[in-house]
Amino acid sequence: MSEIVTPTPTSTTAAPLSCVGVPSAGVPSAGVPSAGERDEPLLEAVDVRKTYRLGRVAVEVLKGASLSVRRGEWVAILGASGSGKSTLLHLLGDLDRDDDNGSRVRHLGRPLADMSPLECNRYRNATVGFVFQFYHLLPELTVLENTLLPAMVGRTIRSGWHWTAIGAAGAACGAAGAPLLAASLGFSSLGGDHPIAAVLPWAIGGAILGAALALIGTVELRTVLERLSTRHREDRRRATRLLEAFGLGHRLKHRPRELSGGERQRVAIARAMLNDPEILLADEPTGNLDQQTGYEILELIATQRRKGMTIVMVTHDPVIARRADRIVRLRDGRVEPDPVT
Amino acid sequence: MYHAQLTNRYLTSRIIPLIAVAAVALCVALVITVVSVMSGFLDMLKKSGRTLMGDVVISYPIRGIGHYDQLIERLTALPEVAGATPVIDTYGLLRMPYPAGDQKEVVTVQVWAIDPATFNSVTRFDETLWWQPQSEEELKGLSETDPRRLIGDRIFENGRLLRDTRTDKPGIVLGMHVSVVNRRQTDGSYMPVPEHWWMPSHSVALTLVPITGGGKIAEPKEVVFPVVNEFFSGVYQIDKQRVMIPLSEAQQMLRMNEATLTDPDRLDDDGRPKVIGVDPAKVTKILVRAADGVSPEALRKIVASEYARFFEDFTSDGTNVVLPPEPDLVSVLTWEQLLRDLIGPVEKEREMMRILFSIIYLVCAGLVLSIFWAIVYEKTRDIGILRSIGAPRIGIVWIFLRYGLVIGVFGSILGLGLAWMVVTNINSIHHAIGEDAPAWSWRVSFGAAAAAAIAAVIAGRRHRLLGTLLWSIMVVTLVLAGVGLMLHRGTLIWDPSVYYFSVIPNVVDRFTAALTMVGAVIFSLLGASVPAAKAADTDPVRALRYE
Repeated sequence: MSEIVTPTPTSTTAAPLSCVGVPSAGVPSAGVPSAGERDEPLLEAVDVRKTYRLGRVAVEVLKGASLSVRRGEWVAILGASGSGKSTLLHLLGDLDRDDDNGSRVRHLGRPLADMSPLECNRYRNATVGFVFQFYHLLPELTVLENTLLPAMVGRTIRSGWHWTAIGAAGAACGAAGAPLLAASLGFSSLGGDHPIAAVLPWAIGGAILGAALALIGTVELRTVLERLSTRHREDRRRATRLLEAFGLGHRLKHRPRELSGGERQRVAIARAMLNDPEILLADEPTGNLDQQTGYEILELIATQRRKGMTIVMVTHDPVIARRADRIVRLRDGRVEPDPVT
Repeated sequence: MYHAQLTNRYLTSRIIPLIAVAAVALCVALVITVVSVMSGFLDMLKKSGRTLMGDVVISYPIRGIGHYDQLIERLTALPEVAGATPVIDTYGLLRMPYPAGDQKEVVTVQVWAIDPATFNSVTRFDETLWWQPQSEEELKGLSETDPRRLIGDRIFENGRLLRDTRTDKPGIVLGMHVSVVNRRQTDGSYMPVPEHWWMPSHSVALTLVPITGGGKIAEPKEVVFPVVNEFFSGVYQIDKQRVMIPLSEAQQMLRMNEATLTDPDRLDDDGRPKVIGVDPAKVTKILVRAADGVSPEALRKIVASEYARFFEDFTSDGTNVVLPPEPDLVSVLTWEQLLRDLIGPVEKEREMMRILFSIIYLVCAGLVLSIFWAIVYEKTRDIGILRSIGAPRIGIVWIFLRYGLVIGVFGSILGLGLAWMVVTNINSIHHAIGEDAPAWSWRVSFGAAAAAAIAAVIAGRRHRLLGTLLWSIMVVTLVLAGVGLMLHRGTLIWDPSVYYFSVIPNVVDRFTAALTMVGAVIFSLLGASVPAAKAADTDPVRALRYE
């Protein structure tokens, strides 16, 4: 986990919004990768096509869009509404697949299509972090719990055999239980005098119930153990530090509905940052905020950039886009390099 | 880990899960209550059958089984037999002491003539005797005219021995419903109305019709017996028509006692028919009780083969003039076989009810499915968020399955509690239904309706449509309930003459309860599985755009 820098009001307001193509933070931090590393594409979209089907109508949103993002780079995808910029971001984050099922989107040269479902889940959980325009916090959870969510999810991402084993055990219980239960009903109809009739239904019922409870109990016990684990306590401390760094230390137990828009977005960024991802994918992160709050959020993102994080940000606002290292424009489903950058 | 957290929050932050839990609880309570009453009914049939007739019955009606005392001696010597007792089972006319005047009521009764000493050991008849001596404490609570004050210290002993021990005369014990004056009280006890017709202070005349050796009806014989007690077996059909008298009295009345056998064609030295032997005393039934650990069916086989040997021994002896009936003519049946006509249909009916009421599981699953479908619809965006941070599909499935599991488990436990409350108090509830609703009940209902109407008006003035609607529904419901209570006149649902028993079974059938609870949990899970799968299949991008 890299060091967290608290944004200050001065840096927010004094940010050189007109500075395009140059890292806005000015001085690279210790976490900034070397030139060689930065030349290697971290994330690539090569001639990506994406078609949505709206009933019988096929709408081609991306018509061969290409984008290469280097490590530590802040790329802004600029485009009009409906130009496909959010779609491209979703494809990069493996929330959605292109027409070739992800074979044209690559992370460190490896197509997402080659990843197993387990790897895909890990990719979304730990490699990328999403920030959405409408924050997308879970209303039932507190600020701290929302922030902790990626860590909690991350610990449950296990290989398929794990769930297959649990499923098989459940199926075995069911398969064994049904005929045994039927048999016990048969014995019970023999009458109260039959020595088996008195014991068997209870024995079998108890065995089935016991097996089912053991199955559920294993899952639940692990939940309890995980909650008591050192790792969970560390995650909790990390989430708390992160939120404190984002100025939300006094809001840890609040629900999202009790927060302002800016605060909600800061929680969303904290959540995206918790698992220390390589890439931050931000979809109109300031689109739902007033100008002042939007600047604060941008400064928060810039702070992460200064620490070496790769950022891909979607926006329709050219002024916001200028905070990025590079701007690419999406027009008619294709990427056009920004003439200025 | 996040599953538990989200499930708990989803469960505690809205009312829909409470509705689902209530729905499951009602379904479970309904099944447990209905099947418990039916199972209890069946158990009562079986228990009373065994209590009243032992495990195995040897029968040879009308003519009877001779040499029964020797047969009983052989049977009781068997290690599988705990006891055996002779019985004469016949029908007679009973002239009751009421009403006043000459025109006394006459009823047809089933007469069981018993040997009290052995009968009690086989059937536990003494446990069914109703009138017991009153303690000093109990007497204090009785009114001056209460007939229980007339009960002497010997009444239980009199009933047990079928003899008025004070006068040493043979007595009769009547079934509790033989006398129409005995009325069931709210506490389940019986009292004569009017009180002076308390049967143990009266005598009855019993008429039996003997059958001659040629199978013809002989002159009826009437004997007056003092009523020494009454019994309550709980089986209405038995309590309504059975009376108990001493075996020796019945044998005399029916000419089934031991007699000298003569040959009218051969005369002795005095010119009288020559005595050729002894016609032994007879009984129509022998009730046999099994030793511990011996099933009725096993005992039946043992008794049948013992009877065959018994008959063979008599036949091979050659000195006996009167032989016991041939084994092929004698029926040896277990109490279950004897009650098969009664138990069989009830058993079938119970299984049918179990199957039919299993439909309730589908209702359960349907309810959970529809509620969860709505929840998944509402939580679509949450699903998108979770998928965006890497939650696997199985994780999403488990959130909703766990949700269904909790609803199933809580609903089942609540349903069991509800069923337990209803079943254990079912006789009180039935009794309350059987009487007019008390005035306070409908007054309270109307009062509550008036209060709800005020609340509805207040909500209306504040322009709260939902509040007004809910309070208005409450007003309509309470008014309807009040009118219903006001118009309610006692309704007898459980008619003992139809259902055999005077009381409704009030014990929860544990097997049914366990089965129903497990079924409800399984079907709740099944109901939740479809929306859970739908949630897992939700496209995260569409889910995130969902508003």
